[in-house]
Amino acid sequence: LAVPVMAMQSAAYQKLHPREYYKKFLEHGIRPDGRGLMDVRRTAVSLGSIKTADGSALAKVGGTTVACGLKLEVGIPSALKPKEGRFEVSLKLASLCSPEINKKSLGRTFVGNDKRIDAMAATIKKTIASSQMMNLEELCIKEGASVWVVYIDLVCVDFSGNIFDAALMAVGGALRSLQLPPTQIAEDGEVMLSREGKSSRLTIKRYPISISFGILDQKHIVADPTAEEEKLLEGRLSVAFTTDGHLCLVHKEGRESISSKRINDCLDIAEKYAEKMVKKHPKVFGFVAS
Amino acid sequence: MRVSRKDENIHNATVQVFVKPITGNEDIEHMLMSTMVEDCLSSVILVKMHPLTRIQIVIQLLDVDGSILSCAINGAMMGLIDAGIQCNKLLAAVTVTQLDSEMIVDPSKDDEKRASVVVNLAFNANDQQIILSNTNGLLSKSDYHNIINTAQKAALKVEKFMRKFFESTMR
Repeated sequence: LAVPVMAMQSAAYQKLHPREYYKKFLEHGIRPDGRGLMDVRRTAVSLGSIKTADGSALAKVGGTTVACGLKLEVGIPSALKPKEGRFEVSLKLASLCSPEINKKSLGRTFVGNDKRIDAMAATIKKTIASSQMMNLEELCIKEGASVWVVYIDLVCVDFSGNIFDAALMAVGGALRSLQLPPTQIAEDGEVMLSREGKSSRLTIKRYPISISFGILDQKHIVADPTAEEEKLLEGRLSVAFTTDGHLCLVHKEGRESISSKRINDCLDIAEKYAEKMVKKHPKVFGFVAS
Repeated sequence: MRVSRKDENIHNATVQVFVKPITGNEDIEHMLMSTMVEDCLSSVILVKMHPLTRIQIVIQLLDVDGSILSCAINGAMMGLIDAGIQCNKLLAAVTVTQLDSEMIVDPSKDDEKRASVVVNLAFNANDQQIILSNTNGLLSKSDYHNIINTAQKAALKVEKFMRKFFESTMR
């Protein structure tokens, strides 16, 4: 008779005082789903899942699933960089990703709010650009006239916290699977797909691998927050290291401030995590012998 | 200001920041800038003092010559003090660029173009804790440590300037 009463009490406690409930776990160095404070959930990446896209990948971090599709279009290069192609990133949360997606309560979390999703897409774009993972000159069709523009579309199909890490992995996988079709240029300058010639792939020097931390308050930082944890967090720190050991993103946002020492601890964890990911997903992040 | 139904919060004021470029429409980089500024300012404004209201901050970019994010945060901070909105701490934001091993604090547009790394940091003036960190470019961990140390010293100067300015206008 005692057990059902206690279960009801703890469920009620969680509803009434979610932060205190969560803190009780953190004080013992564990989280409600059984992970340690700095443990990341299981990840999975699969390439080429979407046949209609020019490149695609599906990445999962725990339950959070993000699909990335790449579409190539011919564009005009900028006058300052006539040999370089471009890429644009967009991020969308599909309505099916979470039962709370359009509910007003979601506005307070780090997603669900349109401006924050656009901001996340901008951060992803900056991370890709900062990491210098691809050589944009490979996207050139004719210098000064035509280049490939890669539209990177990310869709979260299942939201369980921490979209950023899954999205970045999906982009990495999709760029790896991207096939640039062979082209020929007609007399009037129009670019057409040619039937002969092979499609080429992009040479990708390195992949950015990120780990996002949630900041609950001054003392507690957890890695890879779930959706329930994200609601309670006051700040977020995303750190991305590349597969060859450079730091390419330290993005801290949110209301809570942290000391530089905590950030440095997180950098150490992120560095080890990037090394681990290369070993765990060699087909995606390992090097291709070309 | 009165807040619209969908944004209202019964416990706190809603802080909204809009960043408007010189020409053209806002794109995702401006959205990113506005969420970063909004987070920084929400952490210092005492939102519990004004429930069901909206504090709207519009940052109109007039001339972008480098260090735009720190400029926006420092400007918004001074605007808040000027408006008399209660804040619990003073924010100071700094941009640092690095090219090889040379660091430039508060870079101009040309400095930023030439640099390999551009880092924006915002600190609490009292305890030097980091509210905002944003990096662009490839760097190493030790580079980042050095940049934080340099930026903290620069943030103290920014804070001194702010205090001096307001103390002189108070008279």
